[in-house]
Amino acid sequence: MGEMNIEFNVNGKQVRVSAEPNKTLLYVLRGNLGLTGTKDGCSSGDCGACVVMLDGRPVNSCMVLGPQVEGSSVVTIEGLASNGELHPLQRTFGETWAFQCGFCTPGMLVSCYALLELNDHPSREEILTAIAGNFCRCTGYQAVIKAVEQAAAELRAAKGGAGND
Amino acid sequence: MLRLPPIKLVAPTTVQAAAKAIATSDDNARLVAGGTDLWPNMKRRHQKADTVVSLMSIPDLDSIDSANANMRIGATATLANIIRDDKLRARFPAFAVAVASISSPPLRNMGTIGGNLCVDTRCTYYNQTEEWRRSIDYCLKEDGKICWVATKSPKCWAHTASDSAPILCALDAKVRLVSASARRELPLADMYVDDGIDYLAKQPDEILTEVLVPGSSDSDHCRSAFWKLRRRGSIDFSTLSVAAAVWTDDNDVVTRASMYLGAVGSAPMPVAEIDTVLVGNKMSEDGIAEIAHVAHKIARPMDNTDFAASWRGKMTVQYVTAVLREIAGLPQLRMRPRHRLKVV
Amino acid sequence: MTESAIVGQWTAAPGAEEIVTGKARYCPDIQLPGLLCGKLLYSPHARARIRKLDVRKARNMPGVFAVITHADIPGENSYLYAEPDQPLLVVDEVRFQGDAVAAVAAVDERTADAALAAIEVEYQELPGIFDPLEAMQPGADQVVQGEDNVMMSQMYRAGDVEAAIASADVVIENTYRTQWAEQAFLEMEGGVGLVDDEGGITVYSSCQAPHRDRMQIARALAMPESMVRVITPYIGGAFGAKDEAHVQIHAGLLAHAAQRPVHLIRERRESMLTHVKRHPMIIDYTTAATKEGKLLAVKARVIADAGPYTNSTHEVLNKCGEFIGGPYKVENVEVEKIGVRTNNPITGAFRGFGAPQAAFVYESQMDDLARKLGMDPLAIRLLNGVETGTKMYTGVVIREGTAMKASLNKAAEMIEWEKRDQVERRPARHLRRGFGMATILKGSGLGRGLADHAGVVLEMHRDGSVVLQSGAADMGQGIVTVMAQLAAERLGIGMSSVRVVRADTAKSPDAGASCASRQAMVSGNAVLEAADTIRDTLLTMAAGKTKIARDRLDLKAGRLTVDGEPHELTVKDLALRAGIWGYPLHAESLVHFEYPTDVPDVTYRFSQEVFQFCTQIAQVLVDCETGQVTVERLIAVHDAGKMINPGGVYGQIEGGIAQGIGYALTEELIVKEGHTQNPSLENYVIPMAFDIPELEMEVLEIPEPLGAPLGAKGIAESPIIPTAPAIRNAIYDAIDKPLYELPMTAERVLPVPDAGSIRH
Repeated sequence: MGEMNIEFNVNGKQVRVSAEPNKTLLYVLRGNLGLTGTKDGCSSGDCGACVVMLDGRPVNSCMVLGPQVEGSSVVTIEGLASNGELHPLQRTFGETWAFQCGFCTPGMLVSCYALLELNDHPSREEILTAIAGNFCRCTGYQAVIKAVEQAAAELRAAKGGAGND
Repeated sequence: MLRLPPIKLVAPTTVQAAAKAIATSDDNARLVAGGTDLWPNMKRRHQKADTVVSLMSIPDLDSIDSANANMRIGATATLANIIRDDKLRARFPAFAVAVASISSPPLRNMGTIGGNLCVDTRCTYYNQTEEWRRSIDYCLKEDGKICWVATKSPKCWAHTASDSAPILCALDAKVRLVSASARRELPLADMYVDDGIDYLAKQPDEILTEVLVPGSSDSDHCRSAFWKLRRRGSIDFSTLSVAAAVWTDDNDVVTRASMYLGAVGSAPMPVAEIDTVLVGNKMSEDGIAEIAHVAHKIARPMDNTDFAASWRGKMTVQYVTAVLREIAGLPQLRMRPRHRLKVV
Repeated sequence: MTESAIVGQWTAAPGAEEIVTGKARYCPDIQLPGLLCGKLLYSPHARARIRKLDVRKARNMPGVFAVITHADIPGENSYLYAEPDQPLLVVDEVRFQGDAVAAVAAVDERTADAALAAIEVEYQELPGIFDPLEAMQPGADQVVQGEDNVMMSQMYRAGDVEAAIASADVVIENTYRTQWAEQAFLEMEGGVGLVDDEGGITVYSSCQAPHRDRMQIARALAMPESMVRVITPYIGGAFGAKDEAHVQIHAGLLAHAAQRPVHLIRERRESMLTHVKRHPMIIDYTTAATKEGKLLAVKARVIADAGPYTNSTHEVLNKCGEFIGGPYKVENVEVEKIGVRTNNPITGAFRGFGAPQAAFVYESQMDDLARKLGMDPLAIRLLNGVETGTKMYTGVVIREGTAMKASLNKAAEMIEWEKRDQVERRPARHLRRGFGMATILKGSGLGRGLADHAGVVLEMHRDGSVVLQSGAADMGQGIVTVMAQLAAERLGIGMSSVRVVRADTAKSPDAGASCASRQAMVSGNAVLEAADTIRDTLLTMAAGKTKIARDRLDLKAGRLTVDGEPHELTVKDLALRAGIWGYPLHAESLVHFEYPTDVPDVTYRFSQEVFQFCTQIAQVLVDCETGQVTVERLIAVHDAGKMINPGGVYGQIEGGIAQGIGYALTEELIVKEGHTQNPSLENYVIPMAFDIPELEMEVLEIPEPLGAPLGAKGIAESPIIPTAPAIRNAIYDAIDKPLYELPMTAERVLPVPDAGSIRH
């Protein structure tokens, strides 16, 4: 099968790649674009290490074909920081030891980032739901909840601060 | 990593064009929506296709009209968007609960209702990689001659794995099927065939375009419930699911009732007796016990998924009871399943 | 006393920013020009003779750069952990579903797959040997021709067990069974091999023991070790299964054969079928006690299904036997340890080295004993528990054992053990609530008589920044953080000033394997020793410069301090001067873990002598009609000696408990006739976020006197050990039914005896 041209936006940058239609978004990100932050843990949707944002929603990039993202916008772990500033979640993940080996982190962080984009005051239940597709073998999930709660509080404080000015 | 075989991918922008593409394809062609079932199956080579016709580029095929008396859901509406629809959740809470129990949030963002209704049947000996299946000489469902679940069986025992099917069947949903030459409407329950291989009455060139859920339900005091058995709070396919809908009059007397069991047969299994037992009476512990007894006989759990088959059989009694007690408003005797059926 | 600035404080790991930004590179992320894709051909059969193996077609395919079989291995065709009995590539007989037969390197993955498919192998299937009890019988068909199926049989005796049993008031005897468990690290095994500029071989390896990898790669290539270099990139978890080599040797062989760089990463299915699992064991166990509950004797017979090859079966059974008596005073102990070859999956290290199996047994039986005597489970444990100074049946004297009872008491206090009967035991007609505890000990370090050493190289530059080189692999457990903290603390600098070079055999001294909860202790001490050398130079210089007595000076928060007060001189100033004046700010250390010489009676081989103590208490809810178990609360009290890195300590505890809950309730590789039925993360059921209760953790800090840095000791293995028995005892408490087999699935919990009229 011939290659297809795919044009989409990754982490704010418009890119154009050429890939065979059977290549997954995970493969395109890692292989074509060298964005190796997103990980392959099972290739079958069971582990969540490959979760990225596709048009604002977290998806398993091993379950999306490259050509399907034509015209879409994708955010990966490499795109969470802006202007060299870490997103609060990225910082709290490190501070609370929400990971040990870090291999689940790219997907876990994106799932949590997607949650906070919609909801900056998530309950424990909502956080658990958001990460219910992300498998972590090292740390369990308690520290992740703590990291999300701390980041959410920071985001709210930042917004509140802006309101008071 | 597990990779997809080479495919030709077409993404028409109208249903007609898609129907034509699937009808005229001269090689082995398949339809795909979210791909969360087809892609892993193709990566493991137990589903095969040369051409894949994607429905995801058809505008408005994903629309949800939950305000209308008869609710209409487009086939490519994602499972996530179904849960997010406030009106849908208010009118058909058990349906929302069933959808929320499917796999995980990122998979629900890709997975669609049409895809879930048509999801391939599953079996321990089938949902494995090519190398693994080759090592047992494959199985009856694909490429092989023997059903390893029942080695003398002429029939494949793979089980239905759709969580939305039992509850939508119980709610009398219909589906619209469109092919290049015809269109028809079919009660959803009639779309399923109790055969692990040919589990759909839908023809391969027919496209499931929408699901219609009759709206009389809320005015007639319809109460419904859905319970699912699996080990974990997310990810796992069901190893048993029970969905029921019960309609009552103003005096709480049952006017109609419907129940389907998932994952214990190749199709959602109707518990037809529920109507005879319940209609004309108020719901009672005795009536519930009777139905649970009947359901136990209808369920055919096999050793083809997680948990021992005999235990899943026993659980049919417990889960049917739990579902009907929930509908009747009786106190629960069961632990809620560990997963959150709450929709957030 | 001065408060530690860094040690004991929450601090992000060095490399945390790389991880949260996706820059951290693991084996699969390594990209090199001309990188080939390597693949292994694994046996689909549990046992078969290879009648034909023809790779000519594959070799001649365009894009295929190397195809190798056993005949193409220049050196030794075996792994070498303990015994060289597992071939890298099978010669004539495959002995488990996962034995590797051939390896290919091709231009891309598709071509590599096509090359594998083009390899012609004719197998003659042979009847396999799958039941360890049958395999043990005299005259049984041999898994490895010419080798006894009983690969290991050791009897250890202390005291007089038979006499003690004869004199006992109570004797309890049961048989316990445990399952195959999968480590399920998220990053699958991988290696990247390349030919380096000197003609040697460099391998990036996802491993726990880079220097042992180097030895294994060199002997397979028949190259001097000096020509082989092993580098650890970021590593995505290991839990014991990367202690033994996997595909890194093949990556080196393929790179050598192709003379091109080769990427070799296992897929999930391959990973689950081919690496060592936790040994399933059948354990006959007898406890004898007085009517007051004092333990008199323990007698155990442990049979481990090892799979066809030795791997770390000796080590696992050694630790299983060492701790089979639990953290209790018991003088008469007899343990028979038997490792049996079968055609089942290979087995080896998984967090705890046999101690989790042992703890499931001894802590289950401790509750059974308490019941039989009508005693409280807490009281009987306190009655028998070891203390500081207790001489174990192994002859080892416990130097610091306060935490045994302290952890029990603390955990009991946290859950209000005394008031547990006031909690609703029957929240609904068919629901029962129960409470169970388990307390354990596990040694840290490799054990007496084994080479247990680690070296580091530390260098401070003129700008005050520090580079630390260590051969200790960090698979996520946090040794890099601990080492950086210790160096920063001793040198009075910030964490950001310390760069730890990830283990690289060309740069880093051997630190041994990252296993047995040992690195924080051994490499920790090595860092302290090296840091103190540099610190000494800096302070001596500072004393000369300031004319202030040396003993009034210290280094803290980047400055020289005098009597604890900051001086104007910074560490950076001192480092610059040292550079200019030619003082060497370079130190190397090699620390051996010293076993005490004043315990002449140690009779157990390779005994460990620093102990991790911990207690966990589970509160469960059991549905009597479905058998389903929910862990509602889990209390964990662990002794860390001294917490160097609290984030890592809590992370290890939480992660260990999550694995323990899986081990207790859901995780099991289902193996039928040597065929693993569930080699995927979909069907091997590991707890996800909803499946773990909110854990209640407490860390005790009772300084360890025996050779531990600042009193700290490793705790990595202990968290997984008590979880399963605590849950088992809670289920027993809830439904009056003892369970003797893991995992404790709903099917096994049923039938609940007399569900209608259970007490409470």
